[in-house]
Amino acid sequence: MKLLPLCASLLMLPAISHAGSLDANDTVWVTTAAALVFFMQAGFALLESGLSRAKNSLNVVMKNYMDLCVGTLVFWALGFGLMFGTNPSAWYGQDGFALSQASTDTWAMLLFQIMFAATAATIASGAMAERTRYVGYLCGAMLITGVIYPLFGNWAWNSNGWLNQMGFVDFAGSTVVHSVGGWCALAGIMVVGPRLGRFDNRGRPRNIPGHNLSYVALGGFILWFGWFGFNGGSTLAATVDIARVNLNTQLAAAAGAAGSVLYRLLSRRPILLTETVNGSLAGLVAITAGCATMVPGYAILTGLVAGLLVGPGERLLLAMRLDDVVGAVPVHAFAGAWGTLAAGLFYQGDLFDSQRVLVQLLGIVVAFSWAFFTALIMYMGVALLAGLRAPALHEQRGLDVSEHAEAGYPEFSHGALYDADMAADMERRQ
Amino acid sequence: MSQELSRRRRAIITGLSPFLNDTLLLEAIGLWQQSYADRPRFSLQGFVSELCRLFDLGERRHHIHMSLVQAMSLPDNALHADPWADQADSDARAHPCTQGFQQLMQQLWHALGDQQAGQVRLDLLTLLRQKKTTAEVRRAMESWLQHPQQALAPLSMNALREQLNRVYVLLCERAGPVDADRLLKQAYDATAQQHPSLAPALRQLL
Repeated sequence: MKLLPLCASLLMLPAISHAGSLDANDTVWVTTAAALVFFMQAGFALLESGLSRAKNSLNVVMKNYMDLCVGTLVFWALGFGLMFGTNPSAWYGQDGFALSQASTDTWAMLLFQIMFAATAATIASGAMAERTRYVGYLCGAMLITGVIYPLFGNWAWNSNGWLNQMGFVDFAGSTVVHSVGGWCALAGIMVVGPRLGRFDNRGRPRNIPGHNLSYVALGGFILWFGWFGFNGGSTLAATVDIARVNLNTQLAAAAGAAGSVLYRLLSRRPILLTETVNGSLAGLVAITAGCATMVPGYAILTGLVAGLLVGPGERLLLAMRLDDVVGAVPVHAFAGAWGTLAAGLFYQGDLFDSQRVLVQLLGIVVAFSWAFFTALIMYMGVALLAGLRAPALHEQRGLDVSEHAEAGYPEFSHGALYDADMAADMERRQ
Repeated sequence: MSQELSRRRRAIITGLSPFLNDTLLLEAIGLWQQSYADRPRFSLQGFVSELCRLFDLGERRHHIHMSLVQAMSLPDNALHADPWADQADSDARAHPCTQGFQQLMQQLWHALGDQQAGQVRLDLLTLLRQKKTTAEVRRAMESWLQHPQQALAPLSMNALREQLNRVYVLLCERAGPVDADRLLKQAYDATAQQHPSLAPALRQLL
């Protein structure tokens, strides 16, 4: 029972830190954790690039690189204020925009939250890979980091946010970061449509293998590593509680991978590397909400169920003719929703409290309704104004050549029609 | 291009020239090439009917028909010259991209096999009618797709790129994107190997 006040104080930490309570150790930990979360971008880039065809591999990396950059600037200018500014209405922050003067605590908080915002934005890039225009995608990333993510973040994480006031538990962002990013990705793939030929005329999916599955595994390792900063850093203080937070993170990731393998074994299918990596990521996403408020046994159960959800989730999307290149929607949206529910179900000292579970469900539904429908309208607007779907000619040439006039593998292009020379030709033509 | 086809075109030009100005004559020849060139030599009724309907020549229908039948029986030296025959040769030299496109497509048809290639050509014909395509491009492509052994009339680079991309999209839909990439690469390699002089034009086209 002694843990209850501790957990409650952890949930309030964003507001407390904003009020100015970090000592030097805390600041060192939070900024280091921010760097770990930054490093997750490299994991996303490798994972998404590896799962794309070679002719689009650079484009995916460029999207990851630049959504971090534009997301950083937009979140500093607008998102942070909306999310953590003074919030008398309980719906949106009213100050803290484009901060140039603040306490060191606020700088640490801003840096850490910038990384979270960029994570939410980058989830869509993998789902929409191989057929989305670069500029259109970046427009979407700006709106996610500037409006969609911070407003939901305000409701859930601002000390005066209406969901927070109801007792919504999402320690490090299963819903706030991952589900919101996943629902935006779902809207994105619905608006942009599947890659050319992804489904045959009967609607059956065709396999489009990624070009480098070792990258996928390496990306998975890096994301896993970065998650210790994502969850551990969300304590926003250099406390002893980090140990259990990160232990739960580790256990859930392992259980997620085991869950996806179990699903493949039970359904008598070969065990895929791609689905196994996604299983561990689903475990990580799911434990993010409750890693500070669960005992390790429940963390394992949370991760295991998340891993089990990945395969059926991917098949559900394919049955609906939705082309999610990396499986971002099952991993981030579905597992995030499950993890948020699990955080309510397995809350230490108050297991299966129906009131808490109802609040968690409300948070999940609100996150879906807000993020999905807003992103749907946003991507439709982007498609209309800036263009979202790459022309068929760009898909033929590959987005590396058509959008960047560069080839991902200039010295190893055997078998590729659009090689480095062709890319150089394109640049000369422009 | 067969001698016989060229001769029959000259006869059509000879038969129609008293009734049509140069512009209408070109359109009429295009229509004949597209829809009637592969029909028996003297089955001209349908062609004349369509001409009269298109150009409002109903009153002269009988005369046009007679003129065409007579022209078909004239000796070679009495027929008008075939401006398109010389044009086709010079165009091949002046339009390597068109030639490259044609060779690339031939390689693709070959790799696909008769049945699949025929289906893709039919789909492409349908797209020509459905999608926004200029009359010139549509006529040239339709004529060529119906008679792939003939030469394709010269087209602009953008038009050829657009047609090639349509073929790629059709390949993606029929064979899947992975096979579409492989087929296009194989066709490019084979064309560049057999016609090295066309390689620069092909690269430009792609």
